Amino acid sequence: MLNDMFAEVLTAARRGDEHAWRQLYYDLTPQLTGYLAGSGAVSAEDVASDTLLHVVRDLHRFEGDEMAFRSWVFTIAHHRLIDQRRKDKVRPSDATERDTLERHIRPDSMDAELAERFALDTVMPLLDLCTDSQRDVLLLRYIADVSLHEVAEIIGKDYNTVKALHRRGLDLLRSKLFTGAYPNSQTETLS
Amino acid sequence: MNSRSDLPPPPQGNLPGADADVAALLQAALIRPVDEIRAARDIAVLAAAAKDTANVTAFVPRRERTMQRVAAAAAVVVVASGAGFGVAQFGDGSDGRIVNEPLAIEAPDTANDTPSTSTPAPPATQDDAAQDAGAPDTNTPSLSTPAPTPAPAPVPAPTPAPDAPVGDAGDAEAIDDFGRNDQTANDTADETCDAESTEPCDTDDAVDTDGTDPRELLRERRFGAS
Repeated sequence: MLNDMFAEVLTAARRGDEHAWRQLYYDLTPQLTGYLAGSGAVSAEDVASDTLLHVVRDLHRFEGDEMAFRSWVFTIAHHRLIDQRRKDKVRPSDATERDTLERHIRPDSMDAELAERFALDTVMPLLDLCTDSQRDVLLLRYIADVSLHEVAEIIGKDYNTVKALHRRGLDLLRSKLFTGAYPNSQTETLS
Repeated sequence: MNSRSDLPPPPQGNLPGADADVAALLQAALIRPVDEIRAARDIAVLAAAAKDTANVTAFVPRRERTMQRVAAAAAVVVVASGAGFGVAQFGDGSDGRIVNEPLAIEAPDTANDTPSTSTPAPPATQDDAAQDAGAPDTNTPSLSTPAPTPAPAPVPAPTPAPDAPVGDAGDAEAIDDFGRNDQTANDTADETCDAESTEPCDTDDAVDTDGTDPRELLRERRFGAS
């Protein structure tokens, strides 16, 4: 979060200041990519880049504080995600196999890569148990760090519906994680 | 590759205790450090685009997956068959499918050829006509003056579909000049979507960014301007 710097950074970003864009990029991209990856986007980084370009295009029309900006950015990302899901139905595609990528990992980054892979392999099967809507709500709440009211605006659903989706999704994940129903009990070490 | 120390601070939201465990798990698994190389490129693109928002679509960086498709399409295998026609196999680079498309190599246009006056073609005989129809050759060739070899019959060019749908993200896929699936046409349609709209972009109405119908452009490229 940029907090007090936000208004200044946003003004500079509108002018095309590269330093301002660097701050916005580093502030938004990890969560943006995490949300998209967790939602099953085939190429989360690409969708995140597309999202930011849409932000650039319509930035002159945006008004609001940092939380509103964050919510707006994730609304765009959510729309891009739906578009990609539609495309994937028409033209299914598979990303490069992870084993292929691992052959190109530098030895000095192996530990970090393996740790990330372990964490991702732990979480994705859990998220796959959720419905798309439950997954969207959980990821927006915990990765994008927006409130349930803002989640409701982003995904275009009623607040009470979002609240119910959140509760059901949360219960599902916690039941699998902490009752031993989930086969990979090592996940407890991450919590 | 970045280390975990490059990660931004965890979200500042007020998570109740019951949520904290799941939140921590999701954040640990999904929030990754920014790739520095990609970041440098993207930031430069974003800053440049912000200075010229009217032409923001011109700043769209090449997607990694699009580049994969381009690389795969470069590996074209042409299987020659017949006189000037073949079948080209294109891997689209993403899902492993092989797309067979007719390779439209145009047959030579003989309609406007000026016949040579120095070596007129011998008149066709009844036997020649019969030979063309598949009958055996009954002429006895002279050893001193061999009979001219008849030219192979010209093979007509394939008739292209007059109004194949192009750039439609639905069932039909965009086709480029070479008969390959052209993902960029659909991408262009996406880039015209309104980010502020409450509905996701509808990719069914693919129109070129300058307002020209891509079907018209395609027809012009393939068959010339009308």
